[in-house]
Amino acid sequence: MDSNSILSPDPNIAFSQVEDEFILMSMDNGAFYVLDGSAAAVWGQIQQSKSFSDLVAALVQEFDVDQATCEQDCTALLEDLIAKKLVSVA
Amino acid sequence: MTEFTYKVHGLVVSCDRPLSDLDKVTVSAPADIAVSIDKNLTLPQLPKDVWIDCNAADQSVLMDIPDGPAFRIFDGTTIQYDPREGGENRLRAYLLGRALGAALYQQGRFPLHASANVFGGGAVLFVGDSGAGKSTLCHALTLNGAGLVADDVCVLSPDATQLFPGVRRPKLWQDTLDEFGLSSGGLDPVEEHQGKYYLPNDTQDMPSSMPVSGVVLLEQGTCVSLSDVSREDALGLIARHSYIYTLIPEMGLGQSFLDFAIKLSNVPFYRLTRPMGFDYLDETVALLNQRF
Repeated sequence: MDSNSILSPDPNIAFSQVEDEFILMSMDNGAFYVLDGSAAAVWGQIQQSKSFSDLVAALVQEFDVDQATCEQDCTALLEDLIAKKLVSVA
Repeated sequence: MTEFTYKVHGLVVSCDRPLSDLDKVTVSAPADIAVSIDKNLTLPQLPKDVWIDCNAADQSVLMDIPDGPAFRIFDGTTIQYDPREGGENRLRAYLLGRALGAALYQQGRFPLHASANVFGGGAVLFVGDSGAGKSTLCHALTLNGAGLVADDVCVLSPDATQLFPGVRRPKLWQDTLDEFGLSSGGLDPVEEHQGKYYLPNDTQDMPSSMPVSGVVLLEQGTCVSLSDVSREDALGLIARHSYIYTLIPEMGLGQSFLDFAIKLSNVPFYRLTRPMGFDYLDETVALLNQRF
C-alpha cells in the first residue's frame, strides 16, 4: 500500500455505525458486511477519506501498536476490503 | 367520476375503478395515493426484457408490463395506468403489486416480498424463495385462526416495528386447492390459464397496525425445525426479499434502506425448515403456534 494512497468507502456502499460496529451494504447485490474490532477502527478512520499514512498515524496514536505492525495489519485488511469492492483507492 | 377509496399498507388509496382485493373504506381525509386511468401514457423505448424505467432526477417510474398494463408512478402520491391488454385481473395484480410498490419506495418506505399472519396480536412475516410454500403455509395458518395480515407484500412502519394490513386475498395453485379440499369453481383466476386462483378476502377483523413479533425464512429440510438467524444473515434476507430490490439503487435509496434494514434486524429472525408437502403442515402450524 502506497503511503499517499487515498482510501475511501466505495461509492456503491452504504454504511451505518451501530454501537462499536459498522454495517456495510453493497448496493450492487444487497450483500451485507459487519465490521467489528480493528476493522471497525479502520473504517471509522477512512469513512470520510484518508491517506494510508494518515490512517496509520491515527491508529498508532489511538491504540497500543507500533507503526510497522500497524502498517502490515492495515495493508492486509485493506486488500481484503478492496477485493470485496468496499473500499476504493485513489 | 365515481371514486373508490380503500385502505392498504396503512395508506388511503383512491381509485377510479373498483379494486375487489381491498376492503372499501369511507374517509374524509384526502387520499395518500390517487390512482387514475390515462390511456395516453408515453413510454420510453426500453431494451428487450426490461419492463421498468426509473428517472434518477425525479424518481418517477414507468412500467411497461408485457401483455399487460402500463403505469406511471410519481411523487409517491400518483399512479396513472393504461389497462392496454391482459384484462382486469392482470391490471389489478400489477397495480396493487408493483405499481403500488414503486409508489411506496418514492415515499421512502421499503415493501418486503413477504406474507404475514397474526399470532396473539403480533404479526409474523414469512419470506422465502418462490415455491418455498409461503401461500400454502399462510393459508393453513389462517384456517387455524392466525388471520392473514398481508399476502405477498408487507409494508412496515418507518421504524420497522409495526406492520400494516396489506392485500388480504390469498392466491393458491390448483394442486394446493385440491389438498385443502377446495374447488376452483367460482374462484377468480389470477391470470387466464395459469392455474392460480384468488381465494375470497380474509375477513377476520384486523387492527390498523400491529407489532412485528418475528420474521421467518421458509426452507425445505428433512424435519420440522425452527432455528435462530444471525443479524448478518437477517440483513441479507431483508435485502434479498425486498420487493423490487432494483429500485433501491436506482432511486438512490441505499442509505435509507440500510438504516431501515438495521432497525428491522432488531426483530427476531428464524429459519423454518420442513419437508415440502401437506403431511408436515399440521406439525409446522403447531410449532409456530408454540413459538408465537
